[in-house]
Amino acid sequence: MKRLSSQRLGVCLLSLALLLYPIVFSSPFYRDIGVTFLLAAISASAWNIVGGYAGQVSVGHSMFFGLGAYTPLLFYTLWGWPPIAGIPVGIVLSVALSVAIGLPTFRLSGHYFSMATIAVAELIRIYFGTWTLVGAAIGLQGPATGRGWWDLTFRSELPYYYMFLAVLALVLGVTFAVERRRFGFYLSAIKASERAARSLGVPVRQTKLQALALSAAFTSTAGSLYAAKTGFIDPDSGFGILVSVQMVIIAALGGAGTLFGPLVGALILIPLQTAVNTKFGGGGSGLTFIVYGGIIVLIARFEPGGLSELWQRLAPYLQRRARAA
Amino acid sequence: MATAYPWSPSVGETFGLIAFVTVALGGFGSVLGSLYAGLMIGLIQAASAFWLGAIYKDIVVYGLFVALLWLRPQGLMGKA
Repeated sequence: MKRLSSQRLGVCLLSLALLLYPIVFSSPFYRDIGVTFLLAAISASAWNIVGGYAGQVSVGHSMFFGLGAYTPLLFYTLWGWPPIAGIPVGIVLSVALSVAIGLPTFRLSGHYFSMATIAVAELIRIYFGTWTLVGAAIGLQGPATGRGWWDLTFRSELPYYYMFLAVLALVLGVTFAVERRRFGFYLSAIKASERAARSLGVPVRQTKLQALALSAAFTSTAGSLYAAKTGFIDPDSGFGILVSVQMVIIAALGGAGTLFGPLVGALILIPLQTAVNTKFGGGGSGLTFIVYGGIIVLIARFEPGGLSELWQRLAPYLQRRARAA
Repeated sequence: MATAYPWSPSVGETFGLIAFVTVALGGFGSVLGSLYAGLMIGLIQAASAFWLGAIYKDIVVYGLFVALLWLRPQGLMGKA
């Protein structure tokens, strides 16, 4: 009972910190870091549903992200619709794509699944780079100045911040609900052993498809939010492999398959990335990759379970020390 | 390879991805499989660049890769 209440206290403190952050740090620079952090946390949490809980390591989630980013801007470019109208369409398209991808690729296991998802994402990226309707290699642009709030184009970072925060809360809330339900137990059974899960009567295929569809819907939303904020999308920033890799690293760093893992991962990685970018500027365009590579090596070598597992091992020790003191 | 291709610090991404695809197509752990898969992918890339255009060569490779995995989830010569 005590453990539950301390957890609840932690969640309250975290929410309070996130709510107050842009008011305390009011310079555009820090607000922008906050917005980037929220976006990364949203997409990593969305990936976490299928990659963490179900253990299906997709490295092609950028396909949903890109689809979610392209759809609103495409509607704006073609018919001048406000980007907000494209968000649900992007979600529908992503869910349809996830089913189309999931049906053939869920027969694959381990590396083969990861490879197949990479292949599909790359396929879409290259295709979008040659498709003139979606701007080919140049990409698409959103409205330069908002005609109203529905264009989601604001001068200040503040509206973006609270919009993203609300979506993050929604994603985490759904993940929490999934974790508690039979669906969540199905997912962890599939993660532990697919064959065993099937022999116990878990509808493996259907469960995996549902998890992928749910994850795709949220990843697509993250993509739409990115497009709304940046007002620009091209094949590399939408479908590039780095987009997928970032989701995987953030979730793995914090702890894949835990509710707050991706949030913790983003909390560490995004400020680090911004620090690297501000310190080295344009001269070190590859340095972000180096940081990612280093983190992959460190996680794989020392903490495959991510920071949440490290914390679980460390917590009893710290408690004992606190009691002794 | 540096003698035949334009080179830049991030060029490894393109080749590395195709190399991964080759190994997965041949079947992880199978030496002969990746040899055959490598030959196949090279020929397919060259042929599709010739007939369809250089932009589409990787699309063809990735498309065929996914299609082949559908038929043989363990790769060409991998053990199930």
